[in-house]
Amino acid sequence: MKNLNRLTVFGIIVVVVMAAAALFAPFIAEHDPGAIELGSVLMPPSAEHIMGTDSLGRDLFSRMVYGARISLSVGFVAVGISVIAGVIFGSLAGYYGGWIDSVISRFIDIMLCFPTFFLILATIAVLGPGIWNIMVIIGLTSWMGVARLIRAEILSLREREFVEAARAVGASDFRIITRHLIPNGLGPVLVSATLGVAGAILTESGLSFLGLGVQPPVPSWGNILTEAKSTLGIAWWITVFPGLAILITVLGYNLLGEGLREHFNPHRKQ
Amino acid sequence: MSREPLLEIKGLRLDFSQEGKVIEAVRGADLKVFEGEILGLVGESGSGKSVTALSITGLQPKAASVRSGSIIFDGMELLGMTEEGLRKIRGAKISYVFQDPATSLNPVFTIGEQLIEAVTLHREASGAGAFDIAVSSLKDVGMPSPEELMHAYPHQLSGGMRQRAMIAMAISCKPKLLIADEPTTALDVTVQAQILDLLVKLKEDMKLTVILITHDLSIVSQVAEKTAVMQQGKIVEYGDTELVYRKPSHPYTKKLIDCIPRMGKG
Repeated sequence: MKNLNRLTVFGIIVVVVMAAAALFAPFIAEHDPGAIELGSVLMPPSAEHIMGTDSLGRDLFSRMVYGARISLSVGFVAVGISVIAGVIFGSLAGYYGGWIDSVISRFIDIMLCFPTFFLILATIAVLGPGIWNIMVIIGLTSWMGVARLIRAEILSLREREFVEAARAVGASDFRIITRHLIPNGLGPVLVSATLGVAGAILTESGLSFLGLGVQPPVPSWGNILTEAKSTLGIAWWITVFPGLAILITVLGYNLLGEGLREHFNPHRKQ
Repeated sequence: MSREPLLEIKGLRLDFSQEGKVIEAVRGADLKVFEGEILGLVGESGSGKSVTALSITGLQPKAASVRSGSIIFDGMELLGMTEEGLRKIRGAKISYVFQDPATSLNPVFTIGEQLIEAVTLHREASGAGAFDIAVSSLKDVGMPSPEELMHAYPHQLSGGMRQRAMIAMAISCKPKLLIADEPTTALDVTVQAQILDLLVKLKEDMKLTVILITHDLSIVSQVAEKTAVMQQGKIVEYGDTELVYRKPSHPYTKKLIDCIPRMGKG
């Protein structure tokens, strides 16, 4: 632990704090995030409402804490989908090579040609917005990086002797891929997944800000920002706090990912 | 010699084709291996000895294809057998030990996990049963404190211990034939001798038949009953090890024997 970089530690702290906030939202939030209190509209931060209230008098801190739940779960589920899809396609391409590799690699190239954000916008326009749609769509448009990573890893791993040894004791292709190759190639995927969570949180916030993501009254950091837009001139806090939350969380995940990359870097292990 | 051989290779021809070019790696190899003996298969790099051994259970590289010939093991024709059928033979009846024990073990799993995998693939055992079989095969290869070793990762073992672990894995399903492809090349000389002794002991204790592939004739002379010399894809010499040494019939064999350093010469 002693050679952990300070920035990595910061990343870990951010990730843990945010995850705790999301998990224990009902215990942390003092108010109901949906409770409208028309008597205290647009109140600046105070002892009662530590982050102030929004234009409907809802407690901003409570909405932020519940928003963390939504934003993080979108991040995790989307990345989960992209890692699963990426690992499946990448390992098939890397292990079998030949025409299977050609087909999958060309498919990856094609997927990478589409500007992701517009592909997501177009898909949502057809399927309609909603938290599950968002998760699945972000996941299915971001697996290509993982697939390329795992393909490259397996391409080099499959020539190693332990693979031949596994085959020589009678292991099937499926077993060799799942038991011997994927566990050995998982390091870079973990890094990419951590960075991917940050990306997915940003995408979700962007979509929600445009009104195509998580729909009100369910709070997410992105849609709190949308509502804040109309009162930006008189209530700075509604914009600043969710904006900061997004910034710090994304930064935290990126720093953690960067730290993991360092950790898995073989050149540093002397 | 009216005994049926355990393994008989007849007229094996095997080509490597790469980008249109065809290279004949094995050109009509014939070989007989009898039960309970150690056969030394000797030859220089590229003589086709490894690929011949791999092709016995269809493990040759993708670029290689068997043109003709027949491989009969225990009364079964192995050439042309389905992948499914071959998989049941690999590890269970014919198993392999490769050259470099450092890379033949998967670095992310413990020795125990890898042994248990080999056991559960072929034997009707799981859980505690598989664990016990794994421990007993570690004992068979002369490992001290096998229970502790089950939880060790490959990088925690020395080269000789890793190779013992590989051999333990190879014999865990009680195969009939063990093919050891340069099992001692990556090890230092004292460990080499221990591994060779182990192979002889296993041959005697388990009635194991062994094909020992090497480029080092002196190793073969220590342990093998029969010697086959391979050159450019053909078996050029085959017979009792002693005879091959005393009266090599092929000029290539003579050259190989002259390569063995002797005390007091030169």
